[in-house]
Amino acid sequence: MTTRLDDLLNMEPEDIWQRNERPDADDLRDKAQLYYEDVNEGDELPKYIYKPTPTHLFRWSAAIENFHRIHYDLDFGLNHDRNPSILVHGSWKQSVVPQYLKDWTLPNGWPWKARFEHRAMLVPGDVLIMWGRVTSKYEKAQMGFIELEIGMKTQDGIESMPGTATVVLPLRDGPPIPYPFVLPAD
Amino acid sequence: MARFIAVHNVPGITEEEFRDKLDAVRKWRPDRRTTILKVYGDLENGRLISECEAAQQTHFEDWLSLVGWPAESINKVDIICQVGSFWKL
Repeated sequence: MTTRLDDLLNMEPEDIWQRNERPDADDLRDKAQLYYEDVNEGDELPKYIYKPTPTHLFRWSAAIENFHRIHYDLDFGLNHDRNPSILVHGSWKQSVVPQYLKDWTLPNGWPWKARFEHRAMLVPGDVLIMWGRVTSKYEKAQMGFIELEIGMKTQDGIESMPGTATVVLPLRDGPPIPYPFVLPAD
Repeated sequence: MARFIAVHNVPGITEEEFRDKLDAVRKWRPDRRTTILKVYGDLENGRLISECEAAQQTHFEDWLSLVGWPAESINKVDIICQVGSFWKL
């Protein structure tokens, strides 16, 4: 049972961090399959909590070779771009989404597609909540399609990445989801 | 946005009071339009200098009222030289 998003947003940042439901490698390795029948409209996905630090931002800049100074040079960020601090990379947020959807659908589901917008500026010190909610579900070609609303909120409730996603889950008595997934013809 | 710097006279301020006031500024930002960048303290003589980035001076003054540190002066910053780099604001 996940902590509801509305409840998290009423907590202090340190209490939000304590509710982090991000699985570790062993959890994922042993994860039981989630089936289409297990999911209902209105269900909330587990909440992944992040607390980016300057070290995380520097590491991400180096890893993807994005050396824009707004992400690691505080003087430049403050005095040149007049940002409130160094900024969390949009590309890092972008990397969280497929990981989040993949983790939820493992081992045999398929995170089919997602779209989202980058909005608020995020800075070290923010506590970030990756969240998702089931908006609808339907069956097609013996597969279960789940429509989601997704986002990444700050501890202040500001939505920094509103979006939607579609994942495919197997039916309990259905065939496996084909790998790679191909959208069935109508 | 604009950069402001204020000089305060707060006789008798203690380190505990200094920390309490600034710990209350989560992420150095009283709100998303105002960032408290740095506060220098000479606690022995009750003198403080605070630096703030805000859209308007009144946003900075709102925070100063909140912490109760009256400002002898508030100035808008045009240029900074920091460890050899010039930043014209």
